[in-house]
Amino acid sequence: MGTFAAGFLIVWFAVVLYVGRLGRRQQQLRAEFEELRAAGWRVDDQDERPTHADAGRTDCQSVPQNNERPTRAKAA
Amino acid sequence: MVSRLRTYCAESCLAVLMAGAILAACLLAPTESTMGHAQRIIYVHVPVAWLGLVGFLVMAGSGLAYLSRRNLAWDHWFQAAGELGWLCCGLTLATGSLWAHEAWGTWWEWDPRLTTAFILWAVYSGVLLVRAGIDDPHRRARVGAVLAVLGALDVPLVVMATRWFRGLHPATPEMAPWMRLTLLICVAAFTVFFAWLANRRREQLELDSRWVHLRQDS
Repeated sequence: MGTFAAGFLIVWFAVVLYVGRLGRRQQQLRAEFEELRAAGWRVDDQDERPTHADAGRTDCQSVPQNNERPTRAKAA
Repeated sequence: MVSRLRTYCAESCLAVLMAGAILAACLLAPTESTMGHAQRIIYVHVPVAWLGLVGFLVMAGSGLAYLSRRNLAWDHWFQAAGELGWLCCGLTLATGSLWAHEAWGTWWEWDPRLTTAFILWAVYSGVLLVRAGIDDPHRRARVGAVLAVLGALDVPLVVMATRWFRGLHPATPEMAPWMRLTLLICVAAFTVFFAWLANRRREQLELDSRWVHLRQDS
């Protein structure tokens, strides 16, 4: 049973490490996104108040596609 | 909300499937007469070995798709499958080594199956390392695709090594029906888990790539 347990633990340890690495990268992406969004808000505040539609965007999915060139409103 | 609920349900099903596979490996499968409980490592070793091979084929397939369409979305599949395949291939060598120590009394033998599996792991490592050193995404995808397509020639060698060459590794051992069923459950569960992880990683790479474009443009 020892060999089986060792093999099993090695596999799950590796999976946990990999998933942890994915999680860390996800958190990093979210933090960078929030930082850029806050910077965009600051730029908008100097100009005008943001629209209601812009204020509703909170998730990372609102980042534009690769081939899209983001406007200032989108980046905010 | 609906998509979040759907994701939650799918992930719960996956957790149940994995728990079922682990329980089947521990409780459902009968104990083998010669090797005893040590033989149960087959329920971990075979699924990761299978996924190591599948990962490389997915990587080579995505590479070919990239070369024909020049769409970086295929490169995200390439990277996700490559990382997980490399991990599974390494785990195959590790669990195989444990089993070899139990069955043959040695941690490693230059047996044809073991050697070809080690070469596959080395090719995986090479492809991922070369890609990591290239900044331009299209050049990285192109170089990776060519290397993966060439490296895929090792996959049939790994599969057929036990039939084409004489060695210590068994080809397809006879198994009791319950053992075969348990092995099938484990292979299916690990495959679904691998696909789920690969898809999550692909989504993350896509977001990463959009983020890079956004930063460059802003």
